[in-house]
Amino acid sequence: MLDNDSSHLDVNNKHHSSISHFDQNAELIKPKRKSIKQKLICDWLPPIVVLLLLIIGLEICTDGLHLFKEMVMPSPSSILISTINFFKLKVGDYQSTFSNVFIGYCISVPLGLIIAGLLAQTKVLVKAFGPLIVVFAVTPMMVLVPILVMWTNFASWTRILAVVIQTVPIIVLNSLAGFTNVPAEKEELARLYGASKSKRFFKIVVPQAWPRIFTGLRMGVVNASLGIISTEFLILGKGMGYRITVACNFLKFPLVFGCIILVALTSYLLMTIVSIVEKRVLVWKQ
Amino acid sequence: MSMKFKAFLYKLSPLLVFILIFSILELAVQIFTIPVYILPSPIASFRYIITSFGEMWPHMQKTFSQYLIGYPIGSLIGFSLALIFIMSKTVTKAISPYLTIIFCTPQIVLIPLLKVWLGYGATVCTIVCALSCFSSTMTQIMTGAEMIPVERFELVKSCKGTKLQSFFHIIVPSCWSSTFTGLKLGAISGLAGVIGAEMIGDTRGIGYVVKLDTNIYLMVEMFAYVYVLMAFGYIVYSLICLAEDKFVKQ
Amino acid sequence: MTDSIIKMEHVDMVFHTRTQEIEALRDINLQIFKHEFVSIVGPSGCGKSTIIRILDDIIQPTKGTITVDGYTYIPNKQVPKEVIRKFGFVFQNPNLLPWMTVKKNIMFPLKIFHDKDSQWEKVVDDLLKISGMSEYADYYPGALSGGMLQRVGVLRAMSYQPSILLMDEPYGTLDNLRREQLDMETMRLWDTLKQTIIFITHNVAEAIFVSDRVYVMDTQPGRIVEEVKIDLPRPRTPEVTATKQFKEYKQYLTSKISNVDLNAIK
Repeated sequence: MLDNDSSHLDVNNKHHSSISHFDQNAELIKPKRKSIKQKLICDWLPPIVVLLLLIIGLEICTDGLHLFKEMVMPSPSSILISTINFFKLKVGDYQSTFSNVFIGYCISVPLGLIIAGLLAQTKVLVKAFGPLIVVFAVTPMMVLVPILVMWTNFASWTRILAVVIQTVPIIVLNSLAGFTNVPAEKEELARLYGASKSKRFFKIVVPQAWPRIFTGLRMGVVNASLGIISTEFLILGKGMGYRITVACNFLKFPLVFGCIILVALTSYLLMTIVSIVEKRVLVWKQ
Repeated sequence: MSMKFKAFLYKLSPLLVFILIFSILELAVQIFTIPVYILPSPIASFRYIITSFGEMWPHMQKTFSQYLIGYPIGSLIGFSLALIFIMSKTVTKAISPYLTIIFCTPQIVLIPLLKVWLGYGATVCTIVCALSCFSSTMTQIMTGAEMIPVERFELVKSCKGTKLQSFFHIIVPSCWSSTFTGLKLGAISGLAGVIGAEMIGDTRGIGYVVKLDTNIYLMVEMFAYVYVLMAFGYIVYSLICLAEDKFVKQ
Repeated sequence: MTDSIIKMEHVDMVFHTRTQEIEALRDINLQIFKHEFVSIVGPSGCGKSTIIRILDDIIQPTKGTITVDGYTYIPNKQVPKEVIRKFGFVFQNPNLLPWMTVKKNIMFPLKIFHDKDSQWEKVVDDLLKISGMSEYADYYPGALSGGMLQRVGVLRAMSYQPSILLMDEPYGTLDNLRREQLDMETMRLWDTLKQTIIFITHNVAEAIFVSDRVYVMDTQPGRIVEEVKIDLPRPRTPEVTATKQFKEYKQYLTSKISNVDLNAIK
């Protein structure tokens, strides 16, 4: 066994972090995982309590005390009822929005990873194209949506394209950061064992880049939502963005709030899915 | 090629790439005689920037000034609230799912509602920008605070330090790098917020002008504004990265 | 002289987390005398780190009496600063604050204690000189190797001149050679500064190498199973590990611990 000097100690040693000293000892004595029931109670009770208090409080203030005008804050019950009633009949908007997000995201992820992977092969490419990637990541690509529409002549896949151009840059940016910040000793390890360039990349560079890649993937979900909603605001016709605009124009505020909440929850759900995948992948790799 | 020249080329390579890309676009426009309403020549757009800067400036100024107001305000509020909330584990647990939800949602969904409340105007853009930046900094700092090694707190405890000392000497410095991550993310989403707000419901600003110009086929002008926006975004982001390199010693 | 300066009597420690109740320590009794070098050795998770955290009032025990230099710890009451100042704590990983230089890290406890006299700066400078680290005073932790970081950690624990050093597996993550060097340096500093040291380790050989006395602990629940006086001549050098007496100690102590890794390198 290599008796190596573990001198480059990880200052942010994960084991010691959010677990208190008590739990540290507990982990060594008893099995690691909290039972699901206990986890549910400890982790989810405070937020659920907050939510219940908020809903009840708002319900009292709006329906009961009539403290707020409907356009400022409709009552939670009216939000729920009008949203359910609407989407029972017309689920098309929601479907359109999030199927575009899903397809756009599924295209963006491999595209972004491949681009980042290709650029990461030489230092020159990284240096040369780095700023370009930053430009595309920072600039809101929604400025190009009007001209995109013009170029594609209102094709059905314009929205997917809009999602892709908004999502790919941020994925490339973060993945590239992961591929290029390889700790020195891992590079040396690869060189010592005479690994070929592709082996070095796939066996050493990529695995240690996973955390940053997943940061990019999570940000990609946020950007995908941003891309589709902004597109729908600009190309009206269908989608949640369109529905919110129309509902606002017709002063149907409970529906407006309901749509906003739906968009929020679905984006959150998508990001949670990515986080869960991340936890699985990282557990296997480490 | 000598080593020095190679090193010089290496440093200059990003600029060379930009020049290359614009040259290719320019050549394509000339060779294939692409009509200006599909793709204008980049040189025409640059010429427009130089000649008509006076006309561009009001829109640029509006966008940039709202961004430069909303971004610091939102980030500062996020920063302060985060530091307050991390002092209590229960509060952190209770509100972090909701913060994440706000973070995941594109803040521009609120624009129609804000328009109804506040009318057309500058405030909507600034508020959307501030909201985006606020959620970015806050979520990043709260995540960062969770990662602080327990031994740092034990160190202060072993010297009988107070909670306040713990806060100033351990929590705040430990969170600097998360703060900068949040600032970077905030820069991006804040800019998207301002531009989005202008495109959807405003009568001035880069977002509005880009949408207008596209609709009336003034593509040279439209791309001019896009290039200016790209430059601005890049400069802001680079400044934050520079500041991060200087202030964060990890 | 024969009076103990640290005494733990019938100390129990039960951790109540939200998910389970763990009996970390059961009926711990130990005595440390002035200028002694005592090791507590045992397998991972037996609670040895908990014992020194109880002594430094980072954790409060569920039951038991602790006396330090005549002062008895009162349950549910903070131990006064003057008593805590007698303790210096060295953490398992160096735990340096990356945004401060080496010297500022060493002076950190003084900052928390609100000691701002320039007199203390001279003490820290002397410490750096004694340990040969003066040239690294203005380096940041990111530039140093693990062994050097840990040396800084030890210096930080000593910056306010405590009479008792609590060391929580300080060299466990380092390689054999570096560990040996640092053990020797610890003993040299101990001899010069005449401190009392409580040294936690899971490495039986290291415990025998450095100590006057060794407490052996076992796990589940954490309890002291043996106390052995180490009668090897000082100053100790690496050659002593080859002697018959050393090997006998090692065999005896190892046999007292169940599920042990001989000479375990973490």
